[in-house]
Amino acid sequence: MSDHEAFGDDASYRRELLSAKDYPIWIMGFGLLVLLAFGYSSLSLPRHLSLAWTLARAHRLDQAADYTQAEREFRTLLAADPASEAGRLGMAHAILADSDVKNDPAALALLQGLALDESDWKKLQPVMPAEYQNLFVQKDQN
Amino acid sequence: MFFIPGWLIELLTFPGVIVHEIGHRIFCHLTGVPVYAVRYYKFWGKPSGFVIHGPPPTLKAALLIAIGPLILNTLLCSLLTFSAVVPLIILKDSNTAFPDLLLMWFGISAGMHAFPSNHDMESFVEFVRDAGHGGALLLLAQGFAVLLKIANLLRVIWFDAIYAVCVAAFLPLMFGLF
Repeated sequence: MSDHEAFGDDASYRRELLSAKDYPIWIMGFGLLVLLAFGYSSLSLPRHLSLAWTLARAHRLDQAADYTQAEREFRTLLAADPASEAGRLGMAHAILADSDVKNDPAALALLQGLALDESDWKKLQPVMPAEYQNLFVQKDQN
Repeated sequence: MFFIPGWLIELLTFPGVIVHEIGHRIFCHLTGVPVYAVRYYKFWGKPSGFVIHGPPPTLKAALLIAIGPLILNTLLCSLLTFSAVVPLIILKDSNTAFPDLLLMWFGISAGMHAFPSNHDMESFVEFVRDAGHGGALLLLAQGFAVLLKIANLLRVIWFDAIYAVCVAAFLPLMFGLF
């Protein structure tokens, strides 16, 4: 807000010219924190970009039914970031969708502990064997 | 739709208020306008922040001072959230690093306070009128002011938060991350 009138009753806010370098210490500290945040963001960005691109590539391959290559990409992603739920979900989908059923238990292991939302479930259900589907419990959010 | 009192939102997003006032101040200095006093943030009392400055010498200076926060807060929102969006939204990391959460909070806070206040825009329109600019320029300034007033009005339905989320999504979209 830029105001000339609304603070007339507050004499301390009147007519003291501030120079361009005249910032309170705590604002300088605030600025330093912003710079640090920016530095952290810049440092983490290359790794994050690489992971996100790997995920995007894996999803594209998965959608194109190239499950072997998709699994390879998902594996690369999960090796670098095992905590990625999107990676685990995508990998599980690729494993379940491929024709090789002997790896299906591995897909189930990947899904362990994940809370799937409706769209995730809609994607997984068509490729998931019926006996696995029975292992999932639906919880209402309301 | 759920409603949260404005004071609580300002408290939760206080870094955005501070950046907003810094935005006004920086553009005052950049355009050579004297600054007399600044309140960066005050929890109790209205307004929570302000900048008292001298009269802008030109239309360009008046515009830049008025929309300074729109520029600075939007830039910070976009740049600070860019990296944090990946683990939080795209990869859905189950153990997201605390600094990424902080970056997201800070960036979204900045984005939510990007809009110049109604008073900022009224000052700008007043400047255009006082400077003798009429016709198309005055209409343009008034139109811009009306747009921002509508944006401020729509805060009641979280338009400021929607704007911040859109700004945060812009760079990831440009880089093909979604």
